[in-house]
Amino acid sequence: MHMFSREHLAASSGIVGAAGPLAAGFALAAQHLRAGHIAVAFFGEGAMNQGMLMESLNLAVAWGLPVVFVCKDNGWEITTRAGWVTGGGIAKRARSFGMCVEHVRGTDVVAVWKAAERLTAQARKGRPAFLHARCPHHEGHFLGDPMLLVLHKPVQQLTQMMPGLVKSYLCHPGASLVARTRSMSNIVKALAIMGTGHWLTNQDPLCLARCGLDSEFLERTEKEVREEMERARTEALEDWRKERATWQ
Amino acid sequence: MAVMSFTDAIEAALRQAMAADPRIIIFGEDVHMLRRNLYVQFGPGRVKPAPISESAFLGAAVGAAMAGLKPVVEIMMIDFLGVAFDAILNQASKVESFSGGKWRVPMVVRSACGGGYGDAGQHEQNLWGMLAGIPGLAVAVPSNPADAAGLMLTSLESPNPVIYLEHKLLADYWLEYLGRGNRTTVEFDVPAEGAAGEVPEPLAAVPFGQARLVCQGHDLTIATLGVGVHRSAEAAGLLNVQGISAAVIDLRTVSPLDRDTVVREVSASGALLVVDEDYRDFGLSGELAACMLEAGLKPRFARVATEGVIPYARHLEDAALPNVERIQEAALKMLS
Repeated sequence: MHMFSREHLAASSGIVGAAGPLAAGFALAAQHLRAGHIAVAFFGEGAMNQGMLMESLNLAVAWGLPVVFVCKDNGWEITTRAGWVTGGGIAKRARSFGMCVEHVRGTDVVAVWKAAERLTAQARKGRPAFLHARCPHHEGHFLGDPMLLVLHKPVQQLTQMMPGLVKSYLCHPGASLVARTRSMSNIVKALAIMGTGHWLTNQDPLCLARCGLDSEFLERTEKEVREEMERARTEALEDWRKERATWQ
Repeated sequence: MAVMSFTDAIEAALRQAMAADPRIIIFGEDVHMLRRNLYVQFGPGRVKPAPISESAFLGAAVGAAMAGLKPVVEIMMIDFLGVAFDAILNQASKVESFSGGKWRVPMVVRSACGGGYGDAGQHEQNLWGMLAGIPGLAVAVPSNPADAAGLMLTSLESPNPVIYLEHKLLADYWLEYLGRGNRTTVEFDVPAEGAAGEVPEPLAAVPFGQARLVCQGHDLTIATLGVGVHRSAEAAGLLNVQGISAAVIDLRTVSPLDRDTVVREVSASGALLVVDEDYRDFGLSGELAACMLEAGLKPRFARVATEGVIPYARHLEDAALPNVERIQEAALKMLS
């Protein structure tokens, strides 16, 4: 949130869906000022229910803008299960605008890379593209995500939550017992789904593999990897600066 | 009297009103978690989680209210109203007038406002000045649990659209979710009397447009609202030690605005200081200055308000929002 780099033409916003219209504008500017360049918008599946993003998909197609929309779909709109509040399918919805759409597993780096290569090539030809990437839900929407607090500190959080819930379940007047039970089970179900997702995420093969290695070796290797990444980053930035100098 | 948190007081008011009136429904993002007690008591039919589609569900609230329901629609933070402004600016606020008074829109937009926990300019705005400037809207900003419950009851009884703003330093759950996040290393300047306090039993409605005199004083009148009430009361205590007697008025609603109380107090003190966490320019503080002139008063005047985009860095944020030091300084300067 709030990260900007004018030098890199990179911006962010705290408003869900705001990346859509901004990227359309970046793409329009690219058409006029930076031939061959494209804009990329990143957002979650929750943003796909925002009017401004839907309007941006249409605008991009109508104007033939060089833009790739990347939807990182972790299945959670803050603390609401995406499926509860989303009609139809994300990829299908994007396809209906007449754009080129690919679907990948977001954790499969090679698949993302290859799909991005194909989609950016499309966008460069003025055909807006859409990448739908399924992703795990690593952390909450924000630091104090109430559902994650329950998962991380169940005793403390449930002690706070339960008296109110039980009282409301029994308090009259109100909805029928069936409706109250449905509410209660929806809350429990949401917590269970998020909990299961997090348990699966924690079974990361990389984490498991690390457990079998000795700490000195790990430390040395990680240092080398960090240095290698830093070197690659510096070189990439240097290349980019040189390239940028040619089109300015 | 019962002691309640600010949040529990709002919930108590909603619980009472929803039990009495089946037309009241709640919807907005994440309400099954945020309003889980009401979700369980009144069922998923009356407390409905919505997609992140503010323009759709705020517009739907206007339609639902026109067609007989009384929606309490939640815009998580008032900043996000920007996404759905048409529903308020051009729909909800216009129907009564356009229908010659024959059709009204009884809806409550409940939203969190305000800063002081490091969330910057897209999540900490107040905007009550801008909203109160739109004819056809009422804007309520409670500063303590009793008013939180009382103003919510009045909002729910109102035949017209109401914007109900709860400050995040007073609403404990917002502060936990957005600010503290279960960390023990962060501290926020929460006004204790605002976050928890006595609430009458049974709950008493607080009428719109009736300011409350928080403390009396004859040298200076401070008009304020929300968290500003607590900052001003603290400053008034410190000024008192320095021999300056300052009255503090809690406006409670920006629209309707209790001009009479402010005029009455200022005509006695001859000095008005407006403490407004909303933007300084073209807002409540300027409006109050105009009210004084219209009433034939020419008081000494100063304002302590938010003067630009709210910064993210905590020390800059603290300096940008009205604080006790700035209020004291402005008062001393005005009276020197």
